[in-house]
Formats: sequence, C-alpha cells, structure tokens
Amino acid sequence: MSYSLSYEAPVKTDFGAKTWQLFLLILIVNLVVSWCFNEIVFTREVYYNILSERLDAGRIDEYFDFSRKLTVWGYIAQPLLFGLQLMFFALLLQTPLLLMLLDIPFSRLFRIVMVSSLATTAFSVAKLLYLSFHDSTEITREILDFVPLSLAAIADLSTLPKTISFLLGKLNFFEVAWCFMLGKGLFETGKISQAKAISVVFSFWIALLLFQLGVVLYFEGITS
Amino acid sequence: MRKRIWTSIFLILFLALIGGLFHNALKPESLSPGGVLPEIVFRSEVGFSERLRVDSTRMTLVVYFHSDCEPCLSQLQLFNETPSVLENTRIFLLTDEKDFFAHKRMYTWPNLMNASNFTWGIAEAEQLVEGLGARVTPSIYIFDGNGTLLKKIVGEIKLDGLLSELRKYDNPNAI
Repeated sequence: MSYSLSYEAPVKTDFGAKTWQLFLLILIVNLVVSWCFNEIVFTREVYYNILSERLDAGRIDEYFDFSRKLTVWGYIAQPLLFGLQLMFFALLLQTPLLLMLLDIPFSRLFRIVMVSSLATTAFSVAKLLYLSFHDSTEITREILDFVPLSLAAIADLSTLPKTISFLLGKLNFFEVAWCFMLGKGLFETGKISQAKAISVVFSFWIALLLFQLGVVLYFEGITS
Repeated sequence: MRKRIWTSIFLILFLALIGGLFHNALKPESLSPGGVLPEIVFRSEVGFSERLRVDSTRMTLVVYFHSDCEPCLSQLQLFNETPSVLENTRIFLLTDEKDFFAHKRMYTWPNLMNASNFTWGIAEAEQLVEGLGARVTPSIYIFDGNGTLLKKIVGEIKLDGLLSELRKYDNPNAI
C-alpha cells in the first residue's frame, strides 16, 4: 500500500465559495451576458445588415423570429450545456495528468476549470461592451467577428483566410488569462510543479485549439 | 489503473474526433469552379432516365434540393413566383427523395411544372453528393454552355442575387 505525502490544499480556496455556489454565480452572469447579446446586439437591423445581400426581407424576418424562439431554448439549455462543457474540459485536463501518473480528483479539476471560465465570461463582457458602442445599423459581419485584445484586432482580416483569422483571434488576452488561471489552479493543488503545470495547460490548450480549428474548417468546407 | 484505461479511451476518442473533422474538412472538393458537369443520371417526372446535360446556347442551373428543407422550399417558391425572369436559363431541379414524384410534391410549385425550361428529377444521393460535391441543400450550380462550372452557391439566395451572379459571366443570352 502506498501513501501520498504531498500536500493537498482544501478545495474551498478561491473566492471562499462552494463549487455549486460558484457554478450558479458564473451561470447567472453568463445568462445575463447572453440576454444582453440577444437584446442589444442581435437585433432585427443586424440580421438585415448581415443577410440582406443573400435574402429577401421576408425571409430575414422569418430567420429572426425563428432565432428569437431558439434563444428561449438556449437560456433553458444553458445550465446543462455549461455543465457539460466544464465536465468535458475537466476530463480533457485530467487526461495528461493521469498519463503523467498525477491523480488530481475530478471534482478539483472541475472547480479549476470553472473558476478559469471567468476569463471566458470576461471576454464575452468585453465583446458585448465593444459591440454596444456600435449602432445596430452599422454592425456588419466584420464587426461581429472582432476579437478584442487579440492579434486579429490589429490585422487586416479581409485579406486573410478564415482559418488564419480564427488562429489570430485565439491569440488574445483572455485566452492567456484563462491558461494562467488553469495553470495557477493546477499548481495550487500541490501535486504538480510549476513547469509541469505549464506543459499540461499548454498541451490542453493545443488540443482544444485543434478541435476548434477542425470545427471551423469543417463548417467552412460545408458553406464554401 | 481503471482510471488510466478510461482516460486512454477518452483520449483516443477525442483524437479520432479531431482526425475526422480534419479529414472531412480537408477532403478535396469533387466539383469546384472550372470543373466539368459530372455524369448524373436522374429519373424525370414522366419516368424516363435522363442524363444531366447543358444547353450549349444558354446557362444551365442545377439545383439540388430536398422537400424537407425549409430554405429549399423557400428557394423553389421564389422560382415559382417569377418563373419568367429565368426563362432563358435551363434549370434542373434535382432531389434524392425516391418518393418525390409518387407524392406529387412538385405540384406545390405549379408554375415550375408548366415552364418548359424547368426539369424535375430524382437522382441517387451518392451521385449528387460525389458528382456535385454537395454537402447541404439547397446547393445551386451555374454551368456555361460548355458544361464548365462557373459558380457554386450554397444555401438559398434571393432572385436579384442569383440574377447578378448570372450577369457577372456576361452572357447576353443568360437572362
């Protein structure tokens, strides 16, 4: 029988709240941000700006009304989807750790991933703020695709393929903050060194990036 | 030990998913602009087998649709409302629904039934997917008189947009 002598920090370290309380708090913030996006940004005028080259006014109205119906289901499904996303990320983060023979409990990884998701929420808020400065009549697809504080924000995306734009967009401040929070969370478990935490987070980020790039390429192939 | 086995299975599935996505995304297009009209045999509404062919004197549009798809219905309705606008363009409306004629679904668009430049057809899904490289419906293909693909349009498009695409190729007989 083997005993671990490594220090295991208590789960309730960050924000002093229980995991379910934090989950609820972040979920509510995400729901409010989603609601603001739907009410302030994705207006009928924006649909017209984006789709008028392809569709008649009647069809755009139909799409808009349909998307409004979907948003209600989106709010209902968001707790489940958010939970599933966190579980998927925690599983993916656990994979390299277990292969390195480092056994950090899943519940702890779930909490680390959840706290780190605050960076993603901050990104959504920043994007919402950016878009809310634009009048709905002037919002185009380019403005919608803008990624604040990223390399894509300083590049001329009109001349670049979608995949390159996507990659430049992923290199942003919020993504760095997310990785930093993940790394910090892992290091604070006391079971992993700083260098290993960095390498685990980096491999995790690359795996997710490849997955997202695959999805972008797949849909680009379908629609082109 | 059991945890490591599950982790390995999860990792393999995840990598397979990424591989599948990249494989599908990077698969070369079977028909892109500049390509030639593929060999597609379809069954016409009178029951004959016909081969897809272009009309050398005018542009040919091939529309791949499905009657369960809302954008397809909208596109066909658009054609139905103003069939005369496209009277100088040969148009093939192809689906892979085996029972399309049996259920008389084409009668939903009576003007397209009467117009001589429109031809309805049922083709094998494999032929449409592999020959045209169609992944979604509706997909619209514009061919010139030589059977060369000029433009592929994915998704529905308003009539003005389609007409301006036809005009782009500067064929006075097109529209």
